Amino acid sequence: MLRYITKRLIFSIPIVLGVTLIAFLILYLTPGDPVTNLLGSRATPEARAELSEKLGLDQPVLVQYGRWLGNVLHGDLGTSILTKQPVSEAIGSRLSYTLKLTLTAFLSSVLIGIPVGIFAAAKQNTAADHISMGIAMFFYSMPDFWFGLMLILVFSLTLQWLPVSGAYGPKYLILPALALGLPKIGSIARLMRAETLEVMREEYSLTARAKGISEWLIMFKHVLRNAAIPVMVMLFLALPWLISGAVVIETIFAWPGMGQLMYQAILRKDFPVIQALLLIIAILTVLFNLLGDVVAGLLDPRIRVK
Amino acid sequence: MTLLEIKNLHLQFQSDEGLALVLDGINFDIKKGETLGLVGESGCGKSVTGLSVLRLIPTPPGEITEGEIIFEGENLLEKSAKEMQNIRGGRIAMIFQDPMVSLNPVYTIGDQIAEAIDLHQPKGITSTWDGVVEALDSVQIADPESRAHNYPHQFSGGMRQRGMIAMMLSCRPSLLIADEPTTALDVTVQAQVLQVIADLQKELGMAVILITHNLGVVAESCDRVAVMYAGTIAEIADVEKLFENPKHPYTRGLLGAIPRADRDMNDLAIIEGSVPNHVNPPKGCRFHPRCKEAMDICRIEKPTDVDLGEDHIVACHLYG
Repeated sequence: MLRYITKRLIFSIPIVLGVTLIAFLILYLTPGDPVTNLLGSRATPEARAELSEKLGLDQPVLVQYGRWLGNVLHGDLGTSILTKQPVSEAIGSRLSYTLKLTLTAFLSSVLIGIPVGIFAAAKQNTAADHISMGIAMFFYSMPDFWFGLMLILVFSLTLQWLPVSGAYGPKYLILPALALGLPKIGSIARLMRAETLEVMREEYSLTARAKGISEWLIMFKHVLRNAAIPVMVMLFLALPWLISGAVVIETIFAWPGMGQLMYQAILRKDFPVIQALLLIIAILTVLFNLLGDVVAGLLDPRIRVK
Repeated sequence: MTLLEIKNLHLQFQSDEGLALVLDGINFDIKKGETLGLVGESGCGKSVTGLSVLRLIPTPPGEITEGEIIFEGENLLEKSAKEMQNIRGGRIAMIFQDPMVSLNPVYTIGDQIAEAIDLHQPKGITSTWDGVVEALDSVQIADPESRAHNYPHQFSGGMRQRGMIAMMLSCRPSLLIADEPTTALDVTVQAQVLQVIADLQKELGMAVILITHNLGVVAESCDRVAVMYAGTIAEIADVEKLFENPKHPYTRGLLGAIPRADRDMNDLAIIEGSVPNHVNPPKGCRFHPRCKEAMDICRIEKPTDVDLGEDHIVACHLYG
């Protein structure tokens, strides 16, 4: 197992490097540049050249990438072009906000989505099944920013129960976490239902019944243990996605997390900040993928690595 | 002494095309310790008959509308869900066709056997673990102590079926329903699995309903045979009598269709036509459209069971 994990980690290095290189090239190719953002469009060519040289932007793109990579390997994520703040510091102060938001959204969508999926499977083809799956389909289909706007409209502006934006206490967490979590509730519930139904139709469920096991125990011991495997893998794949999904939601709710930082950095072409954030997301994606596979291996002896 | 008696069993399924009468009044019984073969073409109702005895027919869409299933003097159709759970795996066990998919992949073989033992608490076992080892040993799995820790995917097909038998027989049932237990296995391990069943049957004094479409298996392992056709039982007789002196035209057709090494393949008899569908079965005898000896009455009236003596029963107007 340890060898497998080490091997996977080594293989993931080129993946992470590839992601950062592609991101670097895309940023380079898109219009707009930080120099114009800093000096304004009427700056003299001399001033522009001077600033470009100072920031290293006059070098060929691959040299820039190489320099950035070298610094990262030495633990230096660089300095924000705009705020002159070290990138690690800027991210550090925002990391806890993003984690708070995404983990709340994630845990609540798991705690709601999974029981709803099991319930719908157990009550297959009844009104309860159709209604809960209809709602889940709706949650799954609508984008998170739409939920963000609707939640603000209903709970903040109309009912005035919860604040519109900011992060000054637990009350401020509810709406952005809901907006981020609702589409996930939909997808988790639907997947859980589908997997549960599939396992219920497996012949080993019939074997368990022929053995005299109660329906309750068949569900919780034989069916769910098998149905959980693909769902767990999907959950681990979804976690990094949630973090990047937070870009839009944090912007809507003015939540001071990494997503908002990313949004601002992209608008202003703050290369070092964007690069660092993409690096973190790439590493998280690779790590959670690996973690998902390890958990699947623990749950399913057929894919357990010797 | 009669162990199980099925009387006038009717089973129907709600399907997209309409109501399918899958079992149309079947009758048979099985004595203690006996082996009854249940043979017929695919879709004739063999498997659902087995599942009906354990009340494992999914309802809906299936429903037993009429009849009785008397096991050890009690009608199983009147049992509560809880009582049926005690009977399943405890007094009546069932094994299925494909051992590759009938064991739960995430639990060890030992765990799955232990689950049955803990549930039914059979007499004469000192501990659950001893019961597990003993059960695996009884189906000739070498090194049962360590094999119990294996997962199903670490077993070969034949071993899995033996593991399944070990699990189902660990609680010493008085009846085993074996639904095509060797069909999915290599020919070389088929005989071994049948031998394991026969040995345990002798040891436990258990009766076996062997559902199969392989007449060779029937000839070798069964005491009596019931031939099913389209949800009805065409003929029941002792195995020698049935093979030597088949009465029902369908039975004769089946036996004539067995290829034999000492005869030309071109002489192989076939039964013309195909199995009727259950939604709109032929009126009268369900076999009449394919029967060479069909008479006018066969198209109108459903034949009743005729006792030819010595437990030879045939449902055919030729003998009525």
